[in-house]
Amino acid sequence: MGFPPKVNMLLAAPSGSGKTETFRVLKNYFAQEIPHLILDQVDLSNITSAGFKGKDPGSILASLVKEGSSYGIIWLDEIDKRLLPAHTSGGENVSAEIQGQLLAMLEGCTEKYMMKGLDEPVTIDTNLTMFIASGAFNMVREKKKVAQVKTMGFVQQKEKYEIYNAISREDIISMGCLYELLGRFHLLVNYRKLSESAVLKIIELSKSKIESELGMKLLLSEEFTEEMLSSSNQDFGCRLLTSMIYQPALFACKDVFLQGLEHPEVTIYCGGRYEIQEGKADSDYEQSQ
Amino acid sequence: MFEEQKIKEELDKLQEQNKDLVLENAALLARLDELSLKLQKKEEPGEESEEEEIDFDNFIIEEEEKCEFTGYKGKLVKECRRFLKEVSFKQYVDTIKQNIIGQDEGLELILTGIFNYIKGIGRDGIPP
Repeated sequence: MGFPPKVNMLLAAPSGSGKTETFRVLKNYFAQEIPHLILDQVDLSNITSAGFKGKDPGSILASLVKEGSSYGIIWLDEIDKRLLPAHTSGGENVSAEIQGQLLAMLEGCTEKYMMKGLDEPVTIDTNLTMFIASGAFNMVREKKKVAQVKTMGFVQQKEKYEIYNAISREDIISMGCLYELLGRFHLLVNYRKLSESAVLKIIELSKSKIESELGMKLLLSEEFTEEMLSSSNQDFGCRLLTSMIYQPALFACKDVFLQGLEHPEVTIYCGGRYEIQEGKADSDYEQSQ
Repeated sequence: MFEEQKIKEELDKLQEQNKDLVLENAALLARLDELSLKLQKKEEPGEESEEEEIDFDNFIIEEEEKCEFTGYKGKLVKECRRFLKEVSFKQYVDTIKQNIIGQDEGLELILTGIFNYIKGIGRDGIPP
């Protein structure tokens, strides 16, 4: 009857593990392969209950209403921010209210929506819409981290809590998520810890990007690479890798400008230290610039 | 609940049959036109018609295209079908995975869900 087999998914992934990147890559890919497929990202932390300052839950479907189509993939970002209880001065839990309003939308309902620029309301059937929600669930991770440290007692210095540990449905419920809402996500997906080879690949990509941005060759010392490997699976995730290279590289860039070097080669060491040398003109490298 | 599902299935089947019958009917009408034209030509010898002969087989396809691929939804269905025809699941997963490093299992699940959704649009999302 024209109903695609939709599966709503919930992605639990720590900060810097690639949630936003996943959306960005999918968006670019489908913009070329299936240009008419709507793939829209909505930040749920901006959505508030009716009567409060912020966006109405109905605005989640704005991209579908604009096109007058029920087909599309809506990426609900930062869903974890809408699970924690947020009480008003009157004692109302706004988060629970928003969750309640999301229920029918995720389950599949037919409703009329009106927006600026339209002459008449548009009917959207969310039975045909796919929802993918994502969140870092840092509160749960923090809670688990504290619980683990307590049980470890004096050996806490030796063990490190793994932020990439999988989040379960029970964890999400403990955050304040309604059972009915969680039940509407057919699949719970966790992003895992990055392997050493994956981190090295990301380091290499970040290095190349910074090299082409700043116009100088970068060399990473062995100790510095080791330091980045150990940092990559901690609280900041892979976002930290770029800034770990970028910061000393930018300082070096300043010195390169002052010294007027033409083919600088910068070696980065631990603790933000760096060394600049005048390198040879590398035709391949210059071409890539 | 079971009965409801049974009715839905039967309705699906009937709609599918109806679609075939509509197309068959269109083809028969075209054949009828073609034969009438031929008969007319025989009755009026010497007068040659400049009209192109109707390609009987292609007529159905053209009709189908006209029926399905109009409007936003139609364009989407057409694009999804083309995508499914040209890109294999493996190619699609490999391309995406090239750009998202280190997340294999979780990413594959998400990609499978999306591919299945696109398959659904391509297969069943036929506008009436």
